[in-house]
Amino acid sequence: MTNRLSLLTLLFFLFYGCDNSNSTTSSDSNTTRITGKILYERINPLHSDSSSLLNRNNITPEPSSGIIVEAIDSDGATLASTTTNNQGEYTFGQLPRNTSLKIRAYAKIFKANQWEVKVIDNTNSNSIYVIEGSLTNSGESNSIRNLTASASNRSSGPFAILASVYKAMNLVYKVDNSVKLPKLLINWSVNNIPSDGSLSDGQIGTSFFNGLNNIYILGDQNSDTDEFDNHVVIHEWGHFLEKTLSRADNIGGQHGEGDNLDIRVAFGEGFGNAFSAIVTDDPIYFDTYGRAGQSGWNMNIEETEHVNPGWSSEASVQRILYDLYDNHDDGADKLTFGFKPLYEVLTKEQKSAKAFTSIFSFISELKNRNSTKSNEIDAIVSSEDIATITDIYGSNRDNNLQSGTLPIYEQITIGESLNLCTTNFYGSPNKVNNHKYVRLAIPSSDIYTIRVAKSHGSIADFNFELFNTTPFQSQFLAEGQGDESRDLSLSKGEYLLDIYNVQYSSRACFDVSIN
Amino acid sequence: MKLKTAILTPLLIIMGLNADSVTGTTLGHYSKPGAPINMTYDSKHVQSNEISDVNITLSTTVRSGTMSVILTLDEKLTLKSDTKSEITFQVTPEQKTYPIQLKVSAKEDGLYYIRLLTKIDKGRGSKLRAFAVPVTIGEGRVKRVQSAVMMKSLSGERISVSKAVETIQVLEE
Repeated sequence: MTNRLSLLTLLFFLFYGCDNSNSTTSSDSNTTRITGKILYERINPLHSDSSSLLNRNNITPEPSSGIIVEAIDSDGATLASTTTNNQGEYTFGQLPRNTSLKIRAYAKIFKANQWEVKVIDNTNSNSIYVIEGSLTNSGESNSIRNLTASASNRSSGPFAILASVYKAMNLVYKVDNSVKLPKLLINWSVNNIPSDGSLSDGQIGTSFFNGLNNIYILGDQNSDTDEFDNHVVIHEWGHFLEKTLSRADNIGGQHGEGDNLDIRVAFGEGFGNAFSAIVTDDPIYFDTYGRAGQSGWNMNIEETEHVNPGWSSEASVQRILYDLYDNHDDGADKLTFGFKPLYEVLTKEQKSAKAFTSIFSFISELKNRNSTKSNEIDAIVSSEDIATITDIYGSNRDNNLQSGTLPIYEQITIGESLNLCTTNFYGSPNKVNNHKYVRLAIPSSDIYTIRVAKSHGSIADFNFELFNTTPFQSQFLAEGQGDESRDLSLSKGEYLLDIYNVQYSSRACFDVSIN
Repeated sequence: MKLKTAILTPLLIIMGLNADSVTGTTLGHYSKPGAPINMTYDSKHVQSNEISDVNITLSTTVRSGTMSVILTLDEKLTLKSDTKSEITFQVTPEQKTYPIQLKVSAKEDGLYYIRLLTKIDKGRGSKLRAFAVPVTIGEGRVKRVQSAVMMKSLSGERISVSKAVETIQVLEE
C-alpha cells in the first residue's frame, strides 16, 4: 500500500508537475514569472445606410497580437523581451525577484527574415509608440500584469493601426508562409491633418502610401482621423503589398466611385478596396470623419449600386475581385476562389505583365491559370459591363466611352507615324484619355528616334515615358517643354509608350513616330 | 522688416514662392477613397490682429447633385467676414469651380487651420472628404499637440511613451 501510494504520488507530480502556469512560485528560487495580456481599446463603427460614425458607446478591448514586449528595470535596461501571441498574451518565465520593473509594449511587430512594422510619430522625431505599466516590485510570487492602451488618451491608436496591418499580413502569411516583406514604417500622429505641407508637422494631406516603405495615417480628431477605420488602413497596406510583392503601375491621384479612371488607377484602387474587405471578411468599407469621428460614409464592396460600371471603374474592379474571393454566390457570381489564387496571379503573372497592370492583365492571367473556371470568371466580369477579356491589352472592347478611347493600346511600327488625341472629358489628371498608350516592337538593337509633336490644341505640352516590358520598367522619361524628340539606344524587344498632355486641356492631339 | 521684405520677396518670387501667402492643392496626390472633390487655396500670411484673406476653390468631376461644406476654425482663429459655417452648392456640368472666400485673424502668432468637411450627395448615398487650409499668423510656429512623452530608451531608440491602464495580480501562495 505504501509503495503504491508513493508511486501514485510520484506519478501525480510527474503529470501535474511543478512548472504549472498557475503555480505561485517559479521553479528557479531566484526568479519569478510574470505573464499577462496586452490589449488596446478599439472604437467600433456604427453604420446606418451609407453613413458611418465611431460609436463611443461600443469600445472593446482587443488583443495586440505579435507585438514586442519588454520587461524594463528602474535604470531603463531591458531584462527580457518577448512577443505576444494571437491572444495578446506574453510570458516572462524568469525575471529577477524583488526587483523594481515595468512592462513595456511597443507598437512594433517583427518576424525574423519576414517582416518588421513599426508605428511611429512623424511629428515627434519619428519616435516609436509604446505603452508602459508602472515600476512595481516583482516580489517573490508569480504575477499577472495586463496592460491596456486606452482610447480616451488616444494611446490605443497606434495599436489599432498595427492590429489591422497584422491581420492583413497574416492573411498573406496563410497563403504564402515564405513571404518576405521589406521594413515598413507607419506614420501616425494626432497632428496628422488633411493639409499639404511638411510631413514632420503633420501636414500629410490624406492617409496614403508613399510608394516606398512609409504609410501615413490621419490623426487630427477635429477633421479626419483613421486609426479605427480599419478598411482605410488595410487599403493603404494593400498598396504596399501590390508595390512590394506584385507590381503597381497606378499613377495615383483623386479617385471615386463613378469616375472613368485610367486603367492603372482603376485596378490599383479597386484592389485596395477589395483587399480591405477580404482581410476583414467584411464588405462594408467605411471611413469616419469630423469631430471625434461623428460623421462618415460607407460602401458595400459587393453590393454598391452599379454607377458607371466598366473597365475604367474602381467600383467594378473591387466588385469583381471580391466576388472572385467570397463564398457568397449572388447574381453572376458562382465562384469561390478564396485569396490564394488571386495572390498567386498578383505576385507572379501580374508582376511580370508586359502591359500596364489593370483588370485586363489580372483577369486574362487568372483565366490562364484557372482555365476550367473561365466561363464563371467571364460571367462575373460581364456583370460589370465588361466584354470578355481575352488578353492583357483589353482588345475587343465595346466602345461605350468617348469616341477615340479605343483601342486602349495603339500599335506603331518603325517608320510609321500615328496621330492620337488626349482629352479631359472625364476629368484629369488620372482619367480615361488623359494618357494614351502605344505598343512598339524593336526588331534589333540600335539607336532609334522617338518623336512626339503637338498637332492640335493651343494649350498642350506632351511628355512621354518609355517602358521596357522585359523586365517591365521605365526606361526613359521625356518631360521637356514643347515637342519631344529623343535618340535612344534600344535593345530588341517590346516596349510601351505612355504619352500625356501635362496641361490636361479639353482636347489636344499629337503625332508620334519612331525612326 | 519692410526693407528685408522688399529684398527677400522678389527672390522668393523668383524661386516660385510668395512670402505673403500660402498656396496649395490636392490635385495629383495619392488619396484614399472619398468624395471626388479637389481643393486649391490661397491664404494670406499676416501679422497678429491683421486680417488674412483666404480664398478656397473646390472642384469636382461630379456633374450633378449637391456639394455641402462645413467650415470650422481653430479656436484662436476668428472669423472676420460673414461667411456661413455651412455652405451648399448645386453641382452642374457647367460650373467647374465652387469658390469660398473668408477673412480671419488671430491675436497670437501661430499656424492655424480652417477645416472643411465636404460631402457630395448624388441622391444615392453620399461620400465625404476632409481638408484643412493653413493660415500663418506672424512667425507661424507650429503648435504641435503631443499625445505621449518622447524619450530615449537605453538602447538609444526614440520612444513616445503613454501610460497604460494596468492591472497587477499577485498569485498568492
